[in-house]
Order: sequence, then C-alpha cells, then structure tokens
Amino acid sequence: MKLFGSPSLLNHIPYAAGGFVLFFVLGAAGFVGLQHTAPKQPIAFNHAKHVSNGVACTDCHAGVQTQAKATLPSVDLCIGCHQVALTNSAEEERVRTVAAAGQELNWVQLTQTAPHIFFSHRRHVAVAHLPCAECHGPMEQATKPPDRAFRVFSMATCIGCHQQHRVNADCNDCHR
Amino acid sequence: MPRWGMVIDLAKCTACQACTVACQTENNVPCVPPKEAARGRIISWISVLPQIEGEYPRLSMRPTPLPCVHCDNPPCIRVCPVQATAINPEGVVRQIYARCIGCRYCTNACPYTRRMFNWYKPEFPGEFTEALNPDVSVRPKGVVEKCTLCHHRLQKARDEARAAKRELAEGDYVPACVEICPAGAMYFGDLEDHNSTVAALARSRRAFKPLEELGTHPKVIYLAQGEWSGGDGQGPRT
Repeated sequence: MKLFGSPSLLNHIPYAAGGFVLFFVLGAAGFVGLQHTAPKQPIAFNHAKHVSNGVACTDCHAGVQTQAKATLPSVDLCIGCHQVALTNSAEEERVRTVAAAGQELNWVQLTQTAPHIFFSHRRHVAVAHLPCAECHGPMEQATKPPDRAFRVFSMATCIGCHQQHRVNADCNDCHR
Repeated sequence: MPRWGMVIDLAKCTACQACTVACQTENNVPCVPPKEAARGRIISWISVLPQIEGEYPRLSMRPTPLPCVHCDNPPCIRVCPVQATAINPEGVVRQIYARCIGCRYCTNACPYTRRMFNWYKPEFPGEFTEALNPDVSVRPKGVVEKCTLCHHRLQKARDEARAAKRELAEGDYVPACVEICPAGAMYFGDLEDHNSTVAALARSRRAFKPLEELGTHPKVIYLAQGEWSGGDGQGPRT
C-alpha cells in the first residue's frame, strides 16, 4: 500500500500540525502557571508587623531552641495574644473565627529538607548560634506570606556551609 | 577522636535475646513474616548465634551475640559501586539508604553476614506503628541496612554534654543492646581511651576478635575461654 501521497493520509496533516501547536501552547501555559502557584496559607500573616512589635522568631516557632522541628504555631498560640482584637485587620479576626470553631490553622510549610534527612533546629540554633536568616532569608521584612522558600536545600548547601565553618560533615549525622 | 568499640563477654551471655529485641525497637527494624524469615529474609541487626563446640557427647553451646563488628578495614565498603556505605573517622561503618541501589554486593562481601536487604515494604504490626523511634528512619524497600551503633544516641549524648558544657563521659553514650543486657555481658566505649573499660577488657588475655585472620580488624571484641580465646587454649585461668 502506498502510504505517502495517499490522499487519505495527506488530509490529516493539518490536524496533526494543529495538535502539535496546541500541545506546546498548553504545555507552556501550564508551565508558566506552575511557576506562579503560591501556596495558600490560612492567614495572610505579616512577619514584619509582628517583628516590629517585639515578637521574636522563637515566640511563635517555639521548637527552634529545644527540638528538631521549628514548628509552625498552633491557633492556641496565636490566641494567647489575639484573644481580643489588637487591630482592625480582617485576618486577625479570622484567627479568632478559626479558634472559636475549634479548628486548627493548616499552615503550608515552605522550607523543607528531603524526607530522609534528619535536620535539627536545636543543634543549629541553640548550639551553633546560627541566625535564622542564614537559611530562611530576611523573613522579618516580609509583609505577606512568602511565595516560596528563601532557599531550596541540596546536599551541597549543607556540606558547603559545614566545610566553610569547619564543622563535622559526617554522612551519619543527617542520613540515619 | 574516639574509636567506638564493643566488648562482649561470652561467659556472661545467657542467650536471653534482650539485645535483639532492644535493637529491633530502637532502630525501627521491620518485622518479616515467618514464611519469608524461613527463606533467610529476616532483618536483625544483632543476632544471638548458637555456636556449637566440641563433639558428641561432649557438646556445649556458646551463645554469641553478633552485631555488625564495624571493621576498621571493612570489605563491604570496597565493593559498593555507589559509595552508599562509608566508615566515619570514629570508626562507625554506616549505610546511606538514599544512595543504596540494592545491588547487595555488600551483603555478600560481609564475612559476618551482618548486612540485611529490605526485601519487602517495611511492616509493623498493630500498635508498633505508633511506637516507632522518631530519631531513626524507616528504611524503604530495596535498600541494605545494618547496625549503626545507635548513632542517633551518640548525637543526643553529644548535644546533652555540650549543653551542660562538659566533655562526653564514659557511659553517656551506649547502644540499646548494651544498655538492655541484663547479664551485663556487653561493654561499650572508646577503644582509643586507655583508661576506658572496653580498652582494658580488649587487652585481656581472654579477648579475641571474630574472624581476625581475614584482616578486617573488627571493633567488636569477644571475651571467652578455651579454644576461641586469645590465650593459649589451655582452658580457664585462675
């Protein structure tokens, strides 16, 4: 059977070309869309405002000094200060609504290490006295929830810093 | 720099298996169904092996707890094609699960058979899933695992010593098997420190290293009498 030049097959060429174009356009649109997907946080939390009012990082991220995970604040912790309205902010009101409903704030954790890595905030902050900004960037200036983590951690990030400061870079400390 | 080592007194071991159970719970070692265990696919970082000695009718059994012996010259490291296993400056031989491709060269190279392959997705019966140790990962299917000398305990002990502004003292850090041993048959410490209990015991005439002739330089040292001991094989000494 003659394939090329057969009228039935030639008729399909415009459709195939159209399909190709559509595929790339949709793909590009999807890619751009993915690039700009900011995680939806339960509250439009203003870091800068809290810091300027004298709230320290460790007041809300209570685990930093004592445990491996820095922890994201529970609604009870927020209510500790925001029991009564301190501002006219609608976001602040929402905290009380969530608390009154007995729900929890489902924060989206942005800065993450690989799931098989054991990272201890306590060891880095309480023992090595590393400033938070070293890994988390100028979070105290953020007026709205950040779109993405300040840093994406790879093994090179960790090892680079450990070598620079001449501290132990034993495989076993993180991989266990 | 310390060189961590273990001394096991075989004369004291009662084969109670407490060390194997302690290890299993401390390190989230998964349970393997009996049928698969019979195929040799059981995972047990420390096993109490029955060593039969003598000839019938003069038989005796010497229970021998065998963890990874943490060789100074480990055959497992040389065969690993992806550098998923390494020995750290303190002499602990470790497995990096994220790198392991599951080729099992190391399980074959280990003369002590102390490396186990995860043939199955790790399973923990019932409430065991709630009792996993958060300091240790649960290994995925398809990687090799082994004794770590409870490295997470060393890190914890170091942190505590640092917080108290003192040096790490003997007894601050012991693996779970040594801690649990009800017969007090296991000792753990720094072999490099000549004043430590393990270093003193390692120098004793009863001390011998398992399969020493292979040149692996193990850091798990046994104390025994008779044929196996480091003595002249003339039996107990007074």
